[in-house]
Amino acid sequence: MFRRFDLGLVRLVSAAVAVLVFAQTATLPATQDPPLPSGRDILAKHVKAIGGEAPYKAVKSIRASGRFEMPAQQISGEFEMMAARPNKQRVKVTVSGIGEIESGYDGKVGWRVDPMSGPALLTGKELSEAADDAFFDGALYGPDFVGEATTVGKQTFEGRPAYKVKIVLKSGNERFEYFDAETGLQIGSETTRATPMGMMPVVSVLRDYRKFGALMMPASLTQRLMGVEQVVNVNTYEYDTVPATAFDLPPAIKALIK
Amino acid sequence: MIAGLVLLVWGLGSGLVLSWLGSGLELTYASEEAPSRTSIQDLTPARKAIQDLTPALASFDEVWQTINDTYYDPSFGGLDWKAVRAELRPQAEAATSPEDVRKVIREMLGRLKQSHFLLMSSASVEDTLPGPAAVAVELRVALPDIVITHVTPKSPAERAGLRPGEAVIAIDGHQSSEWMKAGPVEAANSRARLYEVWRRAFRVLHGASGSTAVVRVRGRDGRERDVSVTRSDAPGQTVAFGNLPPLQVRVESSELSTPKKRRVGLIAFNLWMPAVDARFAQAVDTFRKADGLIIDLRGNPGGLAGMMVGIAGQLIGEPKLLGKTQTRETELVFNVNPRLSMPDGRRVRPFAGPVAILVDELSASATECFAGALQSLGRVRVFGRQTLGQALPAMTRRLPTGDVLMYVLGDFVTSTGRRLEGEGVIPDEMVPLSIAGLAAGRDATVDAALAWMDRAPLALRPPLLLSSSDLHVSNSIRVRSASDPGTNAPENVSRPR
Repeated sequence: MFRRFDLGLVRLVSAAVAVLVFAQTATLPATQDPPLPSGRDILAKHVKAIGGEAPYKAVKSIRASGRFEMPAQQISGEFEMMAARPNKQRVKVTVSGIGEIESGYDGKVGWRVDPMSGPALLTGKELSEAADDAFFDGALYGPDFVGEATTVGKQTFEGRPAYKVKIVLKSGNERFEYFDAETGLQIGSETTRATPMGMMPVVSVLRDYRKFGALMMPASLTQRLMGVEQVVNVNTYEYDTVPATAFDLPPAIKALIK
Repeated sequence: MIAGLVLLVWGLGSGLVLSWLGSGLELTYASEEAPSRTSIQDLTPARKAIQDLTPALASFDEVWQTINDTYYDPSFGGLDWKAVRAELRPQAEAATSPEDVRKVIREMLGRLKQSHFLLMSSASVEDTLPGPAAVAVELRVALPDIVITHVTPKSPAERAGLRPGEAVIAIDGHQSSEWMKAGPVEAANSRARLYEVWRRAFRVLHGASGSTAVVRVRGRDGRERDVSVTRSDAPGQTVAFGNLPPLQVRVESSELSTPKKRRVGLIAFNLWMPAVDARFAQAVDTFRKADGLIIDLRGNPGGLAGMMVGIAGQLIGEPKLLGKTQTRETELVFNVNPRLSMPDGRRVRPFAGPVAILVDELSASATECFAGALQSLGRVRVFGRQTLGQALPAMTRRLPTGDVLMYVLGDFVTSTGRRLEGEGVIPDEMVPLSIAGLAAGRDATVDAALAWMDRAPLALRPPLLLSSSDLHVSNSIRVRSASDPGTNAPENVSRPR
């Protein structure tokens, strides 16, 4: 058996340190344990667990909506996310006291508009990550999206036995993802994201998978960064209801494109 | 799809994580002391105390743990943080009321000797305003007096006869001499002590809507008189955001002219909240062809950090570094987001002419970071008085008692490495508070900025715009000349609190 690791303690320190500790843990020999499944096998099990490739491929667009909260700060709002094949995405969050914050990727242009900093085009790593996020079939972890998938260990994640897989995307972006050892579903990730304020380590936890149509989708996402917890609760996933015009660039963004 | 949810949260993360407010934030929301399952009346006195203190002690622990986990300096500047807990936890346990535990928590926060470590409680009289309305005046401490620096035009205060330049002797029997006493003030420097004096006076200005305050003032002639004033609700847009109490956000603009008749726009706002951005952008658009811009941030106590990069982007056309914040986990950078478009799709250029920023001893937090950052870049000239020097990025957190903890996430330095905590922003041109000028209807700080506009380098004159649609001029603009004595103070620009 691989040495199990109590992530509950590690979460008290920075995600960056946690990544380092996990990597060290994964180097321990595991002579008594059965061989770990390959990264590709773990990803394939996840795809099967969410409903399989064929039902997912049949979907042309997804609209999700629900609530966003930062419980300790008593900040909350509504969110709507729309995604469509092959690589379009648009997200709108309406937060009390803030207003509407929007971001999107239309296949070429990544952007955001928020009432704090104004409209902006994404560049560099932010743009690259937005393109990865918008890649509709990214959920299938196919070879057109994932360059490398390496199992680095089996450990406890949020109280669940989980396989930790290092994923290197074709874009070059990397992250560690956790997959429930029993159900196969992805239950979390650790990564360092590019933001307007620089790189930020973040731990994400996916919970409460439910069947929405033919697909199993997480109804809850919790993210922890800099000691702050953000929770997204999804009320609905709708399929094939997103109009093509949903991804049109806002006027303030169009004006930024020379 | 799941990755998309990550994107959703990142769309928010960078701006909301940090909220900066000066420590003068007064609370008006209700306490949420956790109820017990057992009736308090059924308990012995000793048991009552234990029952009552459970959420208070949990709050003590949460405060200590939060700071232990997030304080940007793992060495705590040489302070033995664990020893602080070991010393003070028994005192909290021995307390006989939640308020006593709060005192212990405040003692713990005080050991850090930094701004933005606050315990805000609606159950503490010192933390709450007596009511939402106020006598519509601005006050500043000008030792040995507390002086009216601004009276809201057409307000009950103006109709009652209060005038700028008058010294406040008492409000409803509360003597200004009492506010001047050191009392419990443990401020780090003289500016912080004067701020505490101001805060006490500010509190007494408040009361129930429609209530009457009796303000005893001394005029320039030395005569004292009592003035009865109806307290009025603060103007502006009410904004409710997270753990913060409801805030009144105001953005006001007017047009001035320099002694040489150059056209200058003046924009004032009282808080760094998103409700400001669109109105600030509109005001800049109005003045885009003006010869200069004055941004009045006197009395502005701060707000959301994310605002800084957008407002700066109205003045700078490149994504230059404004400053950095080192947190426990990472370094956050504040880069200018150049504002090259308007919501209606027009492409524009940021204002390129000379810019003056006005600050005073009540300008704090995000205001200091903004002014200090642009000063370091050489983009603005700062006028007024040294700022409060409370410039640490912070976050809030609700505690088990319902109280709110404000705690520091990181330190802030400008692009040139200048730290603003403590020293604050020192204006390029210091302009002392002129009581005689106030009495004469003058604003010495605005006058100094206007005079500088006439001397400003021609290289800073605004270039031609990309669009001709910026010719829109607000109907509310008033044109005044600094060369006309007594008429330069822009009436429709409030003095931020």
